[in-house]
Amino acid sequence: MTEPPLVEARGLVKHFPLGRSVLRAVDGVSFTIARGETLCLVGESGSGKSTLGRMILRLLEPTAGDAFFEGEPIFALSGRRLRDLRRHMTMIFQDPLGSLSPRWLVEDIVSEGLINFGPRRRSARRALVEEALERVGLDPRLHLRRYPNELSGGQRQRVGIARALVLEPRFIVCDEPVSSLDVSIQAQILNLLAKLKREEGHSYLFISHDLSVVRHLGDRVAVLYLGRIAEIGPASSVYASPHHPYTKALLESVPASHPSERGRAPHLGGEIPSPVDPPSGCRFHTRCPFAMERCRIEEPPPVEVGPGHQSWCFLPPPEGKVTP
Amino acid sequence: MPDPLLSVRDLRTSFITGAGAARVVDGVSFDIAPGEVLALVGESGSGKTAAASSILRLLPRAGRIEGGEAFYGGRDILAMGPRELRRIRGKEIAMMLQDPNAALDPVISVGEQVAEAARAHGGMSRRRAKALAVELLESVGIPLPRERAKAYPHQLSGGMKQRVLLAVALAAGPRLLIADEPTTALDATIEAQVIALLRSIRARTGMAILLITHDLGVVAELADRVAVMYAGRIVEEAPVGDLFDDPLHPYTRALFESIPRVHVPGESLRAIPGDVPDPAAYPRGCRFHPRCSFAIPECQDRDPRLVPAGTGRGCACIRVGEGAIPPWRAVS
Repeated sequence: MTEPPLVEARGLVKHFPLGRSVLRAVDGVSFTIARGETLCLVGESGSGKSTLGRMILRLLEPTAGDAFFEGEPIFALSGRRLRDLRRHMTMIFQDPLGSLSPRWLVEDIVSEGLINFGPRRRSARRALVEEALERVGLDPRLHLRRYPNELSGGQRQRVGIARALVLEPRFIVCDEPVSSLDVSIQAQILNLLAKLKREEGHSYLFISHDLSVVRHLGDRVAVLYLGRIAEIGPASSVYASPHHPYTKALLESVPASHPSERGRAPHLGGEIPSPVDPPSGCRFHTRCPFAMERCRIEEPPPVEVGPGHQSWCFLPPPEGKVTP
Repeated sequence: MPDPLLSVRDLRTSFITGAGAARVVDGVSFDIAPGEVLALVGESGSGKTAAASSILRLLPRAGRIEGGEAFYGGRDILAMGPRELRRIRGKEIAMMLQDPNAALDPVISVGEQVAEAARAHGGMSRRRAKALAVELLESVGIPLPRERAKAYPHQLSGGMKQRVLLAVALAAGPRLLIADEPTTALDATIEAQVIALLRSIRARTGMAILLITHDLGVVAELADRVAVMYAGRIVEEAPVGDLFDDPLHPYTRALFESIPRVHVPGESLRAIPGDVPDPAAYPRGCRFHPRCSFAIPECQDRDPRLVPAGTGRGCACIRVGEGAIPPWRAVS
C-alpha cells in the first residue's frame, strides 16, 4: 500500500473503572480502513464494538493506543483541527431520533450540523438539507416540516442518514443502523446504504451483531470477542473459510434458512464471560471446543491464514491456503 | 389430523387509542394440535402478539377482545368466568413473555419465583416446590441450579433470565406454551442455545408451542406449521417445509426476498416498498395491495379471504387464486 489508510486504529484500549474493578471494554485493537472501504465490526454483547466506534470518532478518549484520520493523530487534535475532523467523520445510530427532541422538525434535525460547518445563509442551508433528503429517498416537500413521531421507523432512519450525509463526510460509523427495523424496511435501508457506498465512495465502519447483514455490506470483517479481535480479513475469505473457532461458532449459530437444515449445526455452550473479569490467555478458551493447555496461559499472536486474513488462534493455518 | 388442542375462531381484538379504536387482530382463526409447534409470523403491527395475548386474555389495558372464540378442551376461554380462567392460565396454557426484565420480579430470588409458579397450580408443600424449582432450573440448562436458585434476576445474564422464564412457564406442566419472541433479545450464540433447548423440551414433554416471531430463521429451526400475519389477518398458512419450498402469498415471498442471507453476499435485496400499514387506517381491499408487485385494480376492491390452496395450506390472495403468480424460484 502506498497511500496511507483513511482511518487507522493502533492498539486501542478503553477501560471503564467500576468501583474497585475495571471493565475492559476494548483491550488492544488495531485495524485500518482504506478510502471507500467498509470494515464491519461484528460481535456479541460485551465485545466492545460500540465503544470502539465511539473512540474512533473521539466521542470517547482511549485509555491507551492511538487512532489516525488521514495520518493525523485523532486524539492529539484540538481547536480548529479537531473541528475540521468532526466535519469529516460522522455517525448513524440505531435509533437516530430517539435521543433528539420530539419538537424538532426534520429540517432542524438534518441541518443541525450545518450551523457549525455549513453556509451562513438559511436558504443555502435549506437547499443542502433538501438535497440530502432526496439522496436518501425522502421527498423534501412532504417531509421537511414533519416531526419525528409523524414518521415511520424506516423514514426516521432515512432522516438519520440524511443528517449524517449533509456535511459530506468522508467516514461514517454506523452503529447497528438496521437492528430495530422490520425486515421489509431493513432491506430498504441496507439497499440505500449499499447504493450510497457505491455512488458516493464514503468509507464506513459498520457495527452489527448480525452476520447476515454484515455479509451484505462489508468489504472486510473484524470479529470481536471480549474487547479483542479474534479474526479479521476480507469478508469473502472470512465467511468462506473462517479460521478462529469463535468465528466458526458465530457462523454456525445463524438460524437455518430452510427447515431441512434445522438443528444441524452444533451450538456453542457456555455464556459470554464478563468483560470485568475476562479469561486469561485466549479469551475464548472457556468456550472453545479445541482449547489446549497453552490457550489458558498464552495470548495467541495473529497468524496469517489467507491473503489479508489473520486469526488470533494457536490452531494451525489451513494447508495450501497461505499465499507466499 | 387429531382433535386440536386449541382452536381459535374469528378472533377480533382492538386497541383504543387517542384516535379511536384500531382493529389490530381482525378475524384470525387457527388450530394447534397436541404437541405441535405453530409459528405466528409477522412484522411489528401485524397483530401477532395481540392475537397471542388475547388467547389468555392478557391484553394491556387499552386492548379489548371484540369477538371470536378460543376453544380449549371444548370450552371457550374467551367466555370463561375468572375462576375457570385461572385454572387454564399457567396450568394448561403458559405464556413466556418477550421481556424477562418486565416478567421477573426483581426482589424475589429466581428459585422462589419458579417455586411460586409450581405451588400456585400444584398445591404442593413449600419444600417440595423448592426442590421442584431446582429440578426445573436444571432442566432448562442452568448450571449449578441449586446455587443459581438463590440469585436475583439482575445477577443473571439475558440468556439465563430467558431460561428462568421458561422454567416458570414449565412449572405447572402446561400442554401449550405461548412463546413471544423467545430469542429476539439474545446474542447469536445464546439464541442458538435457547432454540436447541426449546426443541429438546418439546420433544421430552410433548408440549405444544405457539411461537410468536418476526424471524424466519427461528421459524425454520422450530416450527411444524406457519401462519403468516399481515395487518391483523392471516394471509398464508402452511406446513413449514411447504412454506419455505414454495411460498404462495406475495407478502410471504417478499419477506423471503428481503432477508439478507449469510452465504449469499452483496446482491441487492428485494425490499418491500412503503411501510407496514397503521392499524387505525388499513388500506381498502387487500391490505397488502399498495406494496404488492402483483396487484391489479381489483385488489383495491376485493377483500381476499383465506381459502384452501393445496394440502393443509391456505392463502388469502385473489391473484394466487387466478394462477397469476409465477412459480417460486428459491433464491439460494
